[in-house]
Amino acid sequence: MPPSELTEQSTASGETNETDETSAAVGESVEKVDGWGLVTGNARYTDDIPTEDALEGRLLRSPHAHARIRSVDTEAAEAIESVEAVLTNEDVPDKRFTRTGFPYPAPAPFDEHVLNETVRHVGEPVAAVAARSADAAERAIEAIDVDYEVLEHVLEPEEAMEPDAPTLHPEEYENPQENAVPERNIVCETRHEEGDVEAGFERADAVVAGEYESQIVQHLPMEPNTTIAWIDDRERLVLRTTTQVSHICRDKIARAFGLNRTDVTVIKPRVGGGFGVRQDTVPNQFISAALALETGRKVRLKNSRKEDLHVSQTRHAQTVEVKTGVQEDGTITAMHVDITSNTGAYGCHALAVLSNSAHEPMSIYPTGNRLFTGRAVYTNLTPGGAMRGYGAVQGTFGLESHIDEVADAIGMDPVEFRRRNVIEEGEESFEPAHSESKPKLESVGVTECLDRTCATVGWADGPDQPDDDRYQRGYGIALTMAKSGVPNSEYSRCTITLEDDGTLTVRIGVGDTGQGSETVMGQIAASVFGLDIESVHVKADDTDATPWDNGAYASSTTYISGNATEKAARDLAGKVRELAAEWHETDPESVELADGNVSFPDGTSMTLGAFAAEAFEGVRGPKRRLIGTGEHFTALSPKPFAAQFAEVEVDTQTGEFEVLRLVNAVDCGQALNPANVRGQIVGGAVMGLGQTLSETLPFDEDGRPDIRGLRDYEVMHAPDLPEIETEIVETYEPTGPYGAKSVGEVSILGPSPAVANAVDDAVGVRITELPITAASIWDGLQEGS
Amino acid sequence: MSQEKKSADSIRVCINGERERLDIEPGETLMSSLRRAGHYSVKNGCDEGVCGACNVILGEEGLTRSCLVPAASCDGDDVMTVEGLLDDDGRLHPLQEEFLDRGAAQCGYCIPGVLLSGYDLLQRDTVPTEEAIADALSGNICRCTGYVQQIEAIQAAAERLPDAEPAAEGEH
Ligand code: FES
Ligand code: FES
Repeated sequence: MPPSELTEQSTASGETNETDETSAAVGESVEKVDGWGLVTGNARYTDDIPTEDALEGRLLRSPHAHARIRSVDTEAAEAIESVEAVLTNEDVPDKRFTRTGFPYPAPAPFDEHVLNETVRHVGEPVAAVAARSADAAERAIEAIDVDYEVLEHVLEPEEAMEPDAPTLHPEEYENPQENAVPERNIVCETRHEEGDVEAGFERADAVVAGEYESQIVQHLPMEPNTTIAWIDDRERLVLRTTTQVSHICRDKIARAFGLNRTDVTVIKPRVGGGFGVRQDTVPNQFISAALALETGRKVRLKNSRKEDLHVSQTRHAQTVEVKTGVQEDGTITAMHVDITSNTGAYGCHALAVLSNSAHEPMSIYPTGNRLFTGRAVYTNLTPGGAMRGYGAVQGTFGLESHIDEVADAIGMDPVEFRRRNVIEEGEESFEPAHSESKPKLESVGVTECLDRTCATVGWADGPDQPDDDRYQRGYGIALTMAKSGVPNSEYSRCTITLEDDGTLTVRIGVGDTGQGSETVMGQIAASVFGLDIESVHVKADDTDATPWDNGAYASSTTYISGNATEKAARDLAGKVRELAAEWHETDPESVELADGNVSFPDGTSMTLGAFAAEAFEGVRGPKRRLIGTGEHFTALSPKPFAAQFAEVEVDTQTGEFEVLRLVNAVDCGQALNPANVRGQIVGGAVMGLGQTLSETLPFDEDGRPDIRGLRDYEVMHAPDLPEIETEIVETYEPTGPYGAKSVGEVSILGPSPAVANAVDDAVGVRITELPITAASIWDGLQEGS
Repeated sequence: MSQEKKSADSIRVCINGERERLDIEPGETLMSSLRRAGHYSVKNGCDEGVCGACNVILGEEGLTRSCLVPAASCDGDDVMTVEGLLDDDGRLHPLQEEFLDRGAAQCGYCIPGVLLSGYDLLQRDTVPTEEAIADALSGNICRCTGYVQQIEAIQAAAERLPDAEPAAEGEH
């Protein structure tokens, strides 16, 4: 008898959990696997390691929105004691790439270098310095003399498309996108029609048109962008950096410098927020790599908060035009959305964000005749990029504002109008041809979200009006949809090792920036074995130790990486059953894994720990440490939905207004960690409210970001919050891990149109431009009276 | 940092009850000097006094943004960072436990500063209203959570604390 049979025991009968049904951890608000470090201050972010041996990097940034660099005199800078390197565009590879955090080749033009000869926005790096002291680095930056040929600049897409506008990227496009027109600064132009829109408009009783403008905002994660780069003892380039796409970052750095991918490592420490801005490989990362390669030493390059606010990729400003044909009974007969997107100096995410801007909001109303046309245009502004909501913030503001206008045109209640047209289970979303997302959606909880919201707020009764009729209250609602991963693009792989103490080590490349994805992966793996979360160790920090994963991406993590994790766990569970069955000369199917035990049909069982120890000791055969693997790639992208509601009060004498209440009802499939899910919903909604009410990154006529620092960038603070209620409306997504879809992005979409609709409901003023201000309401009131 | 210029000066401070000498460079802020000495729980979110990530409890001053204070002015002061919330046995403070239980920490970058704002409030107000808590957090930016779960966590911690909680270490 093998020694460990001593640990075998009778299973508690009755609890014949099928492994598949055991979900010890999934569905519970377990503590985050990284939580202790977060609340004790022990979590280490990129800049939280001693870097006394590192050179200080500093960047010289362009004061001009558009200029060609004729020459750079670096002599004086190099002469400064303790300066180790000064780099200009002549010292970096003459190879174009896109910073976009998509895997190669990426849906974006290759339009920038590590340092460009032509700079295209204020703040673009012109030269870089590494020195043994911060002070020397700063003095060296000041000593660099640049001879600029200042070029004409352009800030608005409409102007940029004019024939006499300066051409921002005159050289031939590398990796050009759909219908690019370089001489008109058009990065891409897209058209997607289903049905026959013209015919649809002809059948309409009324055609309603509107135009909606959104502003540039910043992600503002609380951790500034920092990279520490060095060459390790195997002569590999290592980047310790704030990223949500470590594997993609590694790939891009390797390509940019002509290195083998295996000669680059990217370490992702704790990351202090992402929201999309860490979904690109950013200048800071390329330049610190260049400085480390040049000096052979460790280099630390940290953006100040002000630099980050000025030069981090922004949310694209967009003009969204919507035209809808409608019949008197509320049937939508045709819809046309046309979007012009300002992508700034570089074309990162230009096409993908543009597409998403229309496809998500339009999907909610599956009329047979839909048309989307749009274009993304270069201008001399800070480049736009990926940001939570990924274009759908802009599109949803337009479309969900417009839907109220359409309902109004036929005299129908906006909720009733939505109910008649909204997508249902089994219907198709509006997807571009290259995304072969499974046409029929299997979990669609949007109507229930709408019903629950209306019941919660008493929609039919409308708001209680204040006694003083100077103040008017209004209700507004918006429906939203996001995706779970980019179909046919994202890929995740996971390996899970059964350690000899019966715990699991999950290795996966997810880019947890705080949303809790490492925890959710741990929960999924634990659930397959009926373990508690403490028995699972999630390793997700660096490209050496973890298999490829696109990272935190299109709200995909729970869905794409979660499926990979579940498969890996099931693969491992299968191996455990097989080996256990071999030992017991029984059928693997009859071996059960639950509650951390391996149980046999004869009623005996052993703990997973005892099993693992015995397997590794090799008592009954060769030593074994079992590893499960799983990968996920899919044409599917199930949609999370939400209904979001706002109540506002407007002072009719001043236009001042206040959002009193915000209600979010969200269908994310099954909520694997309800506290986390709620945090994602509220966090997104409050960020959406910030974009609605106050956030904006303005530029002056010279293209200079018009803020001095964080004090001028107005985000929501705790005392600004309205009353916020959140309901999780659970559906079951059959293709998701444990029925889950995504949740990270859907709740940021609704606040803007919900507030605009509520303002209109309160005082009959339609605001079509973000942010919504007292002044714009005041203007509307003046016009109306 | 600098290898040429040795620190011009140093100050003596008592950090979470432990006496320490901090090297300071000319014009350096308390935040920067604390971080250089390894107190990385003091975060640098803006360096301009707006975000609250660098909060510490500084002697008589109480809750303070350490990025606004010249290190040179802190000689002889008591400083409490978020590590000071742990008790002598290293157990979490109820505030920390409630933050964990309620999912009030996402990326965590703002959390040390937010916890100290909460702690400072509970020193003054043992039964704070939601409004009072929101006001206490008015100097903190949290970009992840939307504050709601943080407010709930602080309120829950208040309910667990005895009325007159002895001041934590670093305050003596
Ligand atoms: S770092 Fe001090 S307030 Fe932001
Ligand atoms: S948890 Fe990320 S900033 Fe607050």
